[in-house]
Amino acid sequence: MNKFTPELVKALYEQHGAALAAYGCCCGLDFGSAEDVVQQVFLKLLQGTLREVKAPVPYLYRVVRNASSNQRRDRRRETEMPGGEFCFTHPTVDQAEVISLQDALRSLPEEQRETVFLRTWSGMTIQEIAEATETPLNTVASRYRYALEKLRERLRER
Amino acid sequence: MPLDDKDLEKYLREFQPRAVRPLGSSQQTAIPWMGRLAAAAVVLLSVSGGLWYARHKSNMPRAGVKLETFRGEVPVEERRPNAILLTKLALEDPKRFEEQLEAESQHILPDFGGQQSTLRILTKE
Repeated sequence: MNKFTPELVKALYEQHGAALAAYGCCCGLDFGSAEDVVQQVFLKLLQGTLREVKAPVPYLYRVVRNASSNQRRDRRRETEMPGGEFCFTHPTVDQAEVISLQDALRSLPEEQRETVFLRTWSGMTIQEIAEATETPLNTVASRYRYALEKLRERLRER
Repeated sequence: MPLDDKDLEKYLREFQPRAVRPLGSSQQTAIPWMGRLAAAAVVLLSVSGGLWYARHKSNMPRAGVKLETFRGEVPVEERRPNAILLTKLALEDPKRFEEQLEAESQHILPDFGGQQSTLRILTKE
């Protein structure tokens, strides 16, 4: 079991904060709200109000996912990924290509978008994603496969 | 465009999630602060607008002032009889109503008999 010491919390924020905020965007929040959600989650960890867990990273994604859903429900937002703002950056390509990627992600069904996001940017394995999202392993694997196929199609169209 | 899954994964990983602000720094406080500022501006505008209007209104000539200058009396509006009472009186006691109407007309209609009457002033002009 991992206890959320201040050092661990800060290290996790440094390493996963940006990806968790982008994940909040994938869960339907605008970037500012997603950033706030991530901040609140980590501040709770620092205050010691969240329990100790076996796998901190999948746990963090699960907590951010639930908090994003709650916030979206409170604000009565749609479940699609918000457009018109940047959740991603790229060191070399222009902004149009970043928007293309975001549009392609936004066009995916929510479960597939979540799966491809977790696999690509959180560094989680399919097994960890299955645990984090409380979904059968085979379902996660097929969602990921379908998501990649659709992404390839959408990105090729652009 | 990457064709196989490995290349596509590699391509996707080149995109990085947008950086977040340092842990503990609050952006949320900016919104209520701006809200309070906007509310204060609205209150200030309302109060100053109200004051301006009140001042402007007090400088405007009121109806009846002209008549008061002619007659040197209290403005007509302040002496206007109560219409409801008069109506009631007309229904219940027509004779007293006539008397009341005559008495009221002494105050309401312009004075044509005195030295400073409206009629005399108009005649002089």
